[in-house]
Amino acid sequence: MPRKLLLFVAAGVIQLGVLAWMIVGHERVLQEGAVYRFRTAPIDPRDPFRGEYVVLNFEVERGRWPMYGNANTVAPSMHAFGLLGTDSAGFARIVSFAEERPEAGDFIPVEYLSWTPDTLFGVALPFDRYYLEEGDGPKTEQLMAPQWNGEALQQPLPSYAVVRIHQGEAVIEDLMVGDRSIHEWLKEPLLDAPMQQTAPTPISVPAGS
Amino acid sequence: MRDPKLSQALPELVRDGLISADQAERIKARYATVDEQSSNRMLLVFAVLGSLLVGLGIILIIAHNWDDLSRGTRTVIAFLPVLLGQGLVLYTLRKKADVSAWREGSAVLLACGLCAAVALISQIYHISGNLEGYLFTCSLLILPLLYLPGSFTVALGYLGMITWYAWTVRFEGSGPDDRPWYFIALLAAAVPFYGGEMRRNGTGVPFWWLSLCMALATGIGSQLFYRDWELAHALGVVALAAAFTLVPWLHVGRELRTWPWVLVGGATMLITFLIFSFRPVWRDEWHLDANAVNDRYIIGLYLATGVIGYAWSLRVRRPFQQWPYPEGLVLFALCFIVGLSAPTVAAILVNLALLVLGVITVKHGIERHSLRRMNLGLAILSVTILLRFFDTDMSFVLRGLVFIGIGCGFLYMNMRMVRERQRHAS
Repeated sequence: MPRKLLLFVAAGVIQLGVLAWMIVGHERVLQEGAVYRFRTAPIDPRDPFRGEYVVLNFEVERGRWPMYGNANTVAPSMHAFGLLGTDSAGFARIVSFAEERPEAGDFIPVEYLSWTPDTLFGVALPFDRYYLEEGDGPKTEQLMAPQWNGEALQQPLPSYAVVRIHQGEAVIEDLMVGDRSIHEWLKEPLLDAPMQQTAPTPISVPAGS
Repeated sequence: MRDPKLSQALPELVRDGLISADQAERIKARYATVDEQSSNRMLLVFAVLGSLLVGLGIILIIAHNWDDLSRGTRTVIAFLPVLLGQGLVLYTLRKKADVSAWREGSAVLLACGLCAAVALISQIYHISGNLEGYLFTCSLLILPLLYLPGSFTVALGYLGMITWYAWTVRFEGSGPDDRPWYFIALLAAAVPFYGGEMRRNGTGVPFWWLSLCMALATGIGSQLFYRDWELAHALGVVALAAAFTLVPWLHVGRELRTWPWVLVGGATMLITFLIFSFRPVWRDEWHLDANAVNDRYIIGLYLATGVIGYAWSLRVRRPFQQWPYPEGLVLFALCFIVGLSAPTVAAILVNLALLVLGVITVKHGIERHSLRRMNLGLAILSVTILLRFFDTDMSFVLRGLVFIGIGCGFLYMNMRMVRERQRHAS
């Protein structure tokens, strides 16, 4: 019996250790990571275990970049490291790609989805969901999606995710709509989604270089 | 005491001199034992159900995602169900190790607590990733509970979870070439538990369910490693199905509830045969390029398992003994070889093979006076004939006559079997 007890105590410590490790790793990124802002738009699905969240569709994922390294090694679902920088408005963009894990600078692991021998387009970032309290998903989508007002399509306030990046690990810290946290918006009753007063410049500028 | 009338009747029977006082006591003790076993079983069922409901309730409450709570509070809450479950399991190991209701209840609660904790941490830190990562982490965390305290219910959940994980890797994975390789290790980790249950409770009803889950997990998981689907893959499916139907021959002379392996293997084999009884399935040209088969190593492995299993079984089993499914591999292999050059002949051969399987099953049913098995054989024969309506140009009158004939055949065979049973009983 003592042997069984000891074994279970060891298993229990491992179980707690795995959970704690998950927390510590993410907490460290939140405390020590550099802040980047990623322009985004949401859609509202649901997870059977983890509850409601919005999937974030980042503008930075739709860029075009010159192919790096040896084009012959390219295969479907290739993994790479995207080196981060910011554009003139202060939003995150992927400056370049590296096959090996970079020694310095802020970077994130990405998967690229499409390519030609000289161009790479379409990447998937390692973060794409933001969990919300039950019932807040549709409200968030309403806040962040274009709305029809009569025959005119009104653009929502610009939204972006605040992401902490530390040694290749990324944790979303907050979701901002018009420079206000989504949690502040959700505390208020939402009668009409706030819209931009003037027509915005279409977001079609490639996020990459 | 289960029957209150017994407690009144026993003193009367003693008074009338029909039984002695000693006999009355023994009868009383006998029913008291039955009563105790029954209440233990009820306790077990309610412990499992109760823990499951509480655990799932915790998961659902956590899925609500309480936005008003701070990150620190939610992190602490994530650990509470785990610590509660671990405390209960520790108490069980120390004080109630022999009470199955405690073992099952505490382990189920801890398993749900662990799944809830991973879900809550994912929420707090907005951890991305598909369902596969979540299922994999949870499977690893609940694995020790199969052995300490040793929970049958958690084992069933674990097998379901790893099969779901393998499915999501294969069909919802990020790359077209993703294969659930970790599934093999996860399944292997459950094998010692299955062996232990076989030794301890191999004749019990719970072991029947465990065998069913094990057979389904192995069967479904094994089919998720293909890159493609060609004719040769069906050969792999049939080979593995044949191996499944041989499992009871691994323990000749020892009664164990391993019938679900035959159930899963036999059903898979019959469905495959029925699909390949259609001519167009064999005629698809792209199916028949045997030299360009992907996954040849995996198919080869399954084929080797079936062939070696069959060859080994010949030491303890005569061909067609008990059930004809292991021989289905030989019949299908023959059809496959013929199908490479003559697809139409292959389809005809599969139909003949189905008729052979059906007739042999009916024969086994009649010999053993088993209505169930005889009707299975008749069903194989009937479905084979009925399916031919879809690929033959037959008049409605003729189809009607065939339906009537099959119906009459069923009625006649069942009546004959019932009469035979009654004659044996009298």
